[in-house]
Amino acid sequence: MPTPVTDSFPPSARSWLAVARDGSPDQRRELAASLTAIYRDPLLRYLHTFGARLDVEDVVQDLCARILDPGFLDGWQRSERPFRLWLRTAARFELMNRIRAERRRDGAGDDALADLAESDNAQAAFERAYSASLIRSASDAAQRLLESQGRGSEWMLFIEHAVHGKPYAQCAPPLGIPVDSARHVTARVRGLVLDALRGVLSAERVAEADFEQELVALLSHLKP
Amino acid sequence: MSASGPEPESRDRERSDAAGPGHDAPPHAPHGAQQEGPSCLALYAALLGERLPSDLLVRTWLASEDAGALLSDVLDALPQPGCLEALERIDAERHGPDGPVRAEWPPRVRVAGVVRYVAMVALAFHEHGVWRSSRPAQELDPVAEAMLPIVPEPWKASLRVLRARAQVV
Repeated sequence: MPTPVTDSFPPSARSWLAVARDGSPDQRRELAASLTAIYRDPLLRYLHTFGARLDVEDVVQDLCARILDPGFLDGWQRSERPFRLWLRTAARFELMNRIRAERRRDGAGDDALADLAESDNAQAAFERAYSASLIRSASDAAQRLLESQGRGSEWMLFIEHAVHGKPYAQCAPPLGIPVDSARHVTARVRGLVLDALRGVLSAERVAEADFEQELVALLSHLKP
Repeated sequence: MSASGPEPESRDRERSDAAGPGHDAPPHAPHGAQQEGPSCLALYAALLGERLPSDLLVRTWLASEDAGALLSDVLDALPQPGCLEALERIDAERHGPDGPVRAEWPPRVRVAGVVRYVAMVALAFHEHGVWRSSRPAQELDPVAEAMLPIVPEPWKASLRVLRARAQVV
């Protein structure tokens, strides 16, 4: 199933709950799509590590369809756990339930469910995919926002300078951005992406003081 | 799954708490993650800027497209093993007395500085079997490890020696 494209990025965890309870159908659909864009791939990679013969795509799709259930979110809030750990546990439980159901149909017992123990690579696979999908979703949302405002050149400047390391004198003029203001433009774009990340990381129980440290940790999951 | 979601599993929590950043990397990373990795790495690095630790900076850069070209430039500028004096002269000219890598340098220059410094340390081991510096070798070990797959063959033995002695200050 292709990841739905959304023009916004999920803001703070508190707003998730507000949208889940009182949001319009459009708001709910948009938030669910943006959360699915972040968490779907990590959950898939996580469940694949269990080697179950079931269709894990179906498990994840079902979980993502319920991601804004008020009961599900309330349970997460009470748990005081990072959202991704809550989702991961939910995915494993759902997989276990389906395996149990299949074994009952086949007349087998539940005693073989030890097979579903988390492999050594399961968490690493999840974290690696999560690190990638989070930054990709945040940067995509920032790019779409800037382009919708007719400021697509600012995003291009950020990529050329901050990502590809080109000097402002080389990359700003062709984009129609004065070299004198290029530093401020890049800082604004960087702030936009960081704000997007802050929204999701608030759901992961990352305190503001630990924000940079969390970014370093996320980057570490992706290191070659 | 019930609508109220799963109860937390203590084993899950324990394993998660014990897992530090970058632990236990999968030996066979998913195909998609490998494809997407470099650009995602570069985006994180761009957000962190100067606050990115040196070894992560180098690893990030090593995953970028121009890694091979820049590393070749750096290594081409270095004398081959057996020419320590020339190498030290280059290092002194470029870095001065304040250290090999300065925080205010742009990332690309810092990377080049770190690579050059690791090469210098590797060469010192290669030539003399010792390395005298106030900078702990374990700071450079992650860099040496990351460089190993792409450096020219003559440098690999020296880098392996550096890694083996990473506990020596």
